[in-house]
Amino acid sequence: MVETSDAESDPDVQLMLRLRDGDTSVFDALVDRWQMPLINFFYRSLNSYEQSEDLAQMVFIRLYKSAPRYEANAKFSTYIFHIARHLLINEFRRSQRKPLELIDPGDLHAETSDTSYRVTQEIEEAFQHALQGLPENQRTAILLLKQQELSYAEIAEIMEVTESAVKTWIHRARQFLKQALKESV
Amino acid sequence: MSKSTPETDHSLEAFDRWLGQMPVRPSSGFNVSLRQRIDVLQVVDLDNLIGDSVIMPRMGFKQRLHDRMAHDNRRMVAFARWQSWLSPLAAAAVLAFAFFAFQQSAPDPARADAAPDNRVAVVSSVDEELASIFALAANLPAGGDITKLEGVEALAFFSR
Repeated sequence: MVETSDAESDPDVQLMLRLRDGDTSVFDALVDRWQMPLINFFYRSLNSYEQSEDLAQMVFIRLYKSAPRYEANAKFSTYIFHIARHLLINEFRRSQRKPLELIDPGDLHAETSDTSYRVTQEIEEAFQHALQGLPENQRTAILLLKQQELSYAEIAEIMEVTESAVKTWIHRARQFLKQALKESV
Repeated sequence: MSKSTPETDHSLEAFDRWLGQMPVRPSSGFNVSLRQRIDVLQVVDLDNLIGDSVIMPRMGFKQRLHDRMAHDNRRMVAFARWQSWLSPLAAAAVLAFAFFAFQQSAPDPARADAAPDNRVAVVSSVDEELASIFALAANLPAGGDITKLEGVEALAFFSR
């Protein structure tokens, strides 16, 4: 078994190794630590709270099931988002659609007549629309970079491409977003 | 990389800040629901038997609902197709049955003709005794005191 020193120093990798060895009590700690990042990653991609929760739970189930075969070859974030991205792509294929629905403001906030709030809401809708105008690979790459604060190398590993490919996607995504935001904001 | 305007950069910075936010939180039942799913999966081999319908019940439900609606639609179309020619056939069968049932319940003319004779025979056999009483009474000599009769049987003696 190959266990890199980088991976070994990751506390979540340590928890996963304990789970692999049969210590199921650490599973809750992993869930508590990663449920927020996962749900928000899925939420920005799918714009559906229910689907986001479903998929986040699915990630943890996959994690639990695959624990006996786990090998600490990478940081835990790389491992968990690799699973998450596969599930996301499966979900896109399942629904046979690109997620282009506009955000439902009711999902996030109570209704209000406050003007400044409405402006904020409009900006948020513009951001969401711009994000969902991106192809899946560019959107995932920029979400992992900006939302999850992962490195280019980690994103490359998650998305199974080279680092330069990730940089190209990010660059193209930012060019698109600049244009989209210029038109809408 | 092309140089962008300050306004656009400002928008992009705001976008990056927005992207860095975590706007949604897991529901209060997230951990419980997850644990229940895992418990189910420990009993059932989900990959081979159930697949994603257990792992993702809401999506599984949607899929089952879709399948059921498609199945119902197919049944409705098939039913409508059958109904288009089965309905007149069924109506004709009901009319034919009603006609034969009516025919069966109508009185038989042969039996109807024979009925008066039968009735006479019955009446004559039943009232034979009564007829003989009337015949005897008709021959009673005038002045006879009928009040002294003790019974019908005594009529014969009474006439003598």
